[in-house]
Amino acid sequence: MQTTAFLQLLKDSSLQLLAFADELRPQYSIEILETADGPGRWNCIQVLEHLNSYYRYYFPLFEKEFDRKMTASRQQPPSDYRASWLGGYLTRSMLPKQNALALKMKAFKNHSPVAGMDANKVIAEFIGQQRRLIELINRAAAVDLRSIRIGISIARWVKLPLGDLLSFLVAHNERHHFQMEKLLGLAHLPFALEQEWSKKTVGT
Amino acid sequence: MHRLKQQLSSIYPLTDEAWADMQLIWTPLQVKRKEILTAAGETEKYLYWVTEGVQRGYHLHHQKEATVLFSYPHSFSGILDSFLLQQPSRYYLETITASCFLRTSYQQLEKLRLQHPCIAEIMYRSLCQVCAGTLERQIELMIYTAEEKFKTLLTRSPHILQLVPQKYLASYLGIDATTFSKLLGTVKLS
Repeated sequence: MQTTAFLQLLKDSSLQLLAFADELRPQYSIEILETADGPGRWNCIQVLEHLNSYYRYYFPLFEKEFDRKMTASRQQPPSDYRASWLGGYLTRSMLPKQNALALKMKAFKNHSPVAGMDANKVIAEFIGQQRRLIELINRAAAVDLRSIRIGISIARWVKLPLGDLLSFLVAHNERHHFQMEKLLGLAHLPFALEQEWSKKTVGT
Repeated sequence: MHRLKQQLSSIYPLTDEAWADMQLIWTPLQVKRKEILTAAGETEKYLYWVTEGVQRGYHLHHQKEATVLFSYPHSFSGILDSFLLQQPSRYYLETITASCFLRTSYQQLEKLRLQHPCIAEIMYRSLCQVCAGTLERQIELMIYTAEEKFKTLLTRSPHILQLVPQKYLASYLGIDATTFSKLLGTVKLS
């Protein structure tokens, strides 16, 4: 896939989620946002805090790499992007399919949100970080998405290419965007990455 | 608020009724440093009036980054074209330091613009200035030497050197960060 198209897809999906998050406070009461759909399950605020925990881990690492690479080379990065098999698998396993989540998963301990967080703070942090994600995706156009490798949050010794991590993060976001839509009783229109993936996997 | 009124009235007189309405549409906002207020691709919903801190608007193009605007206390801020046309922004708006604003939304300002001719006149005159400034900067970027750009900036806004990190000033002028610091050491402003 062309690198520019790949990054545009990630950006489109992230803009969708940003617009969704930006409407939460004007549209819903805190009470609704803090209502879970069953005992032991997450509400919207916990979902957002879960996403925040990923951003807090990855963004400083991305920024460090970008600052280093930007000054190091002025080389044109490769025009095509291919995911590694592990990165591709992780991204695929995250995406919602046919209006359902294919694989049920349990969050890792370092990404489990505690209950009773300040809802307004969590939402504000998420919106700020979501804008930062869009900017980082934009910046990623300047670097080689395969040669930069970063340790993953749940096992830092496992290093994945930057491109895989970005697509994993966005797929993971779509998964939880879908979950929040269900919590709020909203109809689901396919997200950018989900849509592209379903096109490509038809017949395979 | 008083300062905002003064500033607006100096452009064109505000009627009491217009100011009474105008006062109501601004809400205060506090933002940390290095926070993105508007992302490229998003449509600008707000017009900001800065009460504290420094901000910048920038565009990312492949490997390059261009800083297109700075804002600081008592100036307006926001991605103006996206705000006025309500179309997706091509620029990011980011706080350089912790900042405080008064801000209003597109809908609120539009309502007042249509209601009060004096507000429409203030906006029109301000935009005339913005247009003149943009064209002037076009010339500076196209034909000025690095030294001329540097001198023009510091003559026009001498305080900016204390407010804004040099790398952003260099990016604003379209010159190298190292060239900028060299000029800082050699150029004497008369």
